[in-house]
Amino acid sequence: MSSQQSVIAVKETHKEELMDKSNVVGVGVGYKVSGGERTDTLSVTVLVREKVPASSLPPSSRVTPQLDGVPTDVVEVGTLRAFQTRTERWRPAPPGVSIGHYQITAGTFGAVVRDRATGARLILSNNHVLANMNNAQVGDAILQPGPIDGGLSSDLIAHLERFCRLEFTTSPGSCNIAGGVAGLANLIARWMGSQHRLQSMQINAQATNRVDAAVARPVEDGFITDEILEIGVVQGTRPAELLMPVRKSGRSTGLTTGQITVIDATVSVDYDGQTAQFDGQLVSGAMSAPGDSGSLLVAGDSLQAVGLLFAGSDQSTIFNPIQDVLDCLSVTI
Amino acid sequence: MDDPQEAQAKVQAVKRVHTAELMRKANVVGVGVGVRYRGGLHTGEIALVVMVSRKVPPAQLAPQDVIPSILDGVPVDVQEVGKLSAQS
Repeated sequence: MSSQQSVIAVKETHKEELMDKSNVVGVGVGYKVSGGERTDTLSVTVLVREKVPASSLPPSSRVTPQLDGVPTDVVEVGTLRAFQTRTERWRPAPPGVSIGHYQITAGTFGAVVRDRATGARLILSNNHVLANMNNAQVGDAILQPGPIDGGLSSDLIAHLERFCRLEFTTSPGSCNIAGGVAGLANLIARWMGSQHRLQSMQINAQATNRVDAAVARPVEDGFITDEILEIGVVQGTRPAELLMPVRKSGRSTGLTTGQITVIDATVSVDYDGQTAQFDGQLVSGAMSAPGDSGSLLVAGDSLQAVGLLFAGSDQSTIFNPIQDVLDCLSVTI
Repeated sequence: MDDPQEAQAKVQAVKRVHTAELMRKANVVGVGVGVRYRGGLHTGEIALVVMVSRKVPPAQLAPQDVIPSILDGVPVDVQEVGKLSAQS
């Protein structure tokens, strides 16, 4: 049997030629694995992206069973890439990583959805992540990672495509100036023949929402991948039920699991000092933190989408039912 | 209670009637159809869940802010959830 040092020497001699072969992504020294069991024979371990029968490879790409009398062992490891955190730049970007409108902090890229009319692949997240709480214009820059994670204009991944408007029950700052501005705007609107009128109103108690949702169109289709980090590719949807086990993959807390504890919930949610009321919501125990907004909620035991995470506290997380999100945005998942 | 589907429908109906009045009470941030919790464990019993930013003994609340323990024959479970905020 060869000593570790002599095997390392053989590996060093042949390293370059092995790395040049197609499919090879690494070379090292290790105990040979045979029939799934580790033996005590040292070998030159060749890491390949994919194991292929030697017969289907050109002779130059084959790994010989022995090198200078030392056995080789071919191990399949897939494509190797540097470990990336969710707040870094990813291209292509998978759902589960940081994203955001250029004027916000950051939220989560929830899922890849398809436009019902054109079939185009779009990025799903919240209005407050992609459309800055109604304060964005269609076409605005969406950055990956989001601004608080260092996203700059060079990290442009998509443009805002459309969003479901948020209706706030209370908004700060209605004052004489606002009233005057609204009055002037209405005068102009009347003169222009518009039916729309601005109101300087502080309280709109009737305003309710079903979803906090938006979609963005990637600059290039290849900038995004369908596979949600640590979950996989979503297959269809499923309505939530009480006590259903669920999971999500988000920018801040990664993969977390929980259980639906309340359905059909009416909740009052704070948005930087403004309040918005939502009906028909889903509630789970704590499974998120700021930055997870926009994460897709998936059933615990299947790949079916259940909801869209948008709010929470230290004790609870709140989700829009997925079907309402898809219908409002006119997309499919 | 009876069959869970029936119990759920009953709670849903009571919820529709009382949501607006419950949402006006102090500390209430949400109302929904859920499962009752006792000592951190769910009992399986379906209840009208009232979510509050913090739990306060009824004695310290104005009478109109006290949450009843039964509404139209349906059990009410008060659950503390803190302040709910958009999470970006």
